[in-house]
Amino acid sequence: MSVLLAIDDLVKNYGGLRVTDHVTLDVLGGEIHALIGPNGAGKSTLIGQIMGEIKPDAGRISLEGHALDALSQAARVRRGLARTFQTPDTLGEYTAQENVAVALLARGAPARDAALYLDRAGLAARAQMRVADLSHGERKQLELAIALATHPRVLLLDEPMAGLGPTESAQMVEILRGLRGEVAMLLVEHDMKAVFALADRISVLVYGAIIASGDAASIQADPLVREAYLGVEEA
Amino acid sequence: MRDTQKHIRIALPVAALALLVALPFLAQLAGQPALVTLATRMMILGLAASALNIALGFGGLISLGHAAFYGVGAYAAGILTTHAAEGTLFLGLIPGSDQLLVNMAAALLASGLAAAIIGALALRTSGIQFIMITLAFAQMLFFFFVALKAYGGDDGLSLRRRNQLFGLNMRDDATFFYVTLVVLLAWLGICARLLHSRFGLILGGIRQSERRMQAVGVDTFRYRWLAFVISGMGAGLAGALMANLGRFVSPDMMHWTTSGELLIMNVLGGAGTILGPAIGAFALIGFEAVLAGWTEHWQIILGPLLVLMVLAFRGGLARIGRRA
Repeated sequence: MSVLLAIDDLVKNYGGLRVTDHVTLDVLGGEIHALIGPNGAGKSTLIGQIMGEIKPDAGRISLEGHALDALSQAARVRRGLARTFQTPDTLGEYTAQENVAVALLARGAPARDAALYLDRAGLAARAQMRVADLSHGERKQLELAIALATHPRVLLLDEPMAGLGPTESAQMVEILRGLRGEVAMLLVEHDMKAVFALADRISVLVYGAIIASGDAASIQADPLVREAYLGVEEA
Repeated sequence: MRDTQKHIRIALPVAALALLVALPFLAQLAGQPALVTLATRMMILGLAASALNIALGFGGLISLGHAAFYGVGAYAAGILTTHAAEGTLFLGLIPGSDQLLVNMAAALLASGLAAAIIGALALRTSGIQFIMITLAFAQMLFFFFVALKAYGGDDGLSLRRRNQLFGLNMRDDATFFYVTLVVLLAWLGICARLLHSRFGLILGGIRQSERRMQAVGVDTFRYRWLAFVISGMGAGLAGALMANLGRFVSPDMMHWTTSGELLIMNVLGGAGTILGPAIGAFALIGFEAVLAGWTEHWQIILGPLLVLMVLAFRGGLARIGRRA
């Protein structure tokens, strides 16, 4: 698999606080690469920098070999990046279908295709409902449908399971599993069950720095990761 | 129940339109010919408020500077009319015109250009800064025209006669009333098309969440700028008509209080709806006219009345009976 998204030596400081500390990371075509770490580790800030919402102080970001650093967020989306938000940021006055339609219209695709993406996200039955009438879990699914409608090469998922119950989480895992191979994903998530069920590779971010990277087994066995994030079992 | 509401929503505008069409005859019958001029003024300000609605209601841009575009449109028509009457060239290059279509086009162009420049700068800010910067630009233009002695300066610019249109008798107030009605209806038709177009859907999305729209690849600045320019052009068109109605243009048209009135019309009638701003204009000017007939201290009554109406009809008069 070839590298789709490459992040190279990224640095971001807020005053004296370094929130991204020389992060180097890549996402391969078709894979699900999970990024885990404690709250405040800088995961969402990293997504913001990849999308162009936040300007990094140093480092490079490229997609399929093309440098993204000088591009606006809109241009990055047109290149093939898409994201979901940790707290759903959907258009409350519109129906679910209209929310997806605006993403389609933004790239010149017909609005009628919205039904396809709602179906992929398991939300076909809610197409005509206003967002204000959707549950939190359904809004999370809508976030995913909107992101998919931009036709991304790499999807940045910012805690898609946050706030979901066990049933909804399981449903979301199934939906994401169905997308495997079709779109590459950088999955930021705290739900370890979901991470281990989905991820091909896992990177661990602590205090803005990647402290470990590898498959699920190696991450679970890594003493540094267990101490910093997963927790050490008492003898 | 829902069908009844739908029928009422269709029947009310149709009845209002029928009443407007019949108004010159009714005013004649009632021996109140001044009503025709009053209604024409209401329609022109309704057009200006509806133009502001594209930026405010559709785009969420609270502009306190739309009087500038209204005034620029009025001056464009007024200056060309003056040069046509004098047989001179504007800036030594452009011949004057006494044709309404030409002058309306000039007003659209001039106000659109002003909105394009002001919007390109002002839209780099948001919130209270945007309100203040649009106000500042409008006041700059206000003082520019106050200082423009060649076109009347502070005293304004009087026009000898109204512009011509297809050989119609434009001196006749009823004829000018119908011309204004046609322009207003055409503008409202454009607004309706715009609201339900791809542009309108995306603009509405930007109003609800700019971050969301940026995340789906929308160049939000470009959409907001375009909405601001179209909005400014509509205000300029209204200005050209107002210059013709009163055969007078003055910097007062650009004063910030005019921008404030246009905002009040939107809030009162319902920003973000097609007919709301025009309804707001009719209501505000109507109240002004009625109260001014009772007492010279009419503003003391109008202020609290507006507050009560806005509180009673949240979302505006156009949204009465609609689902929240």
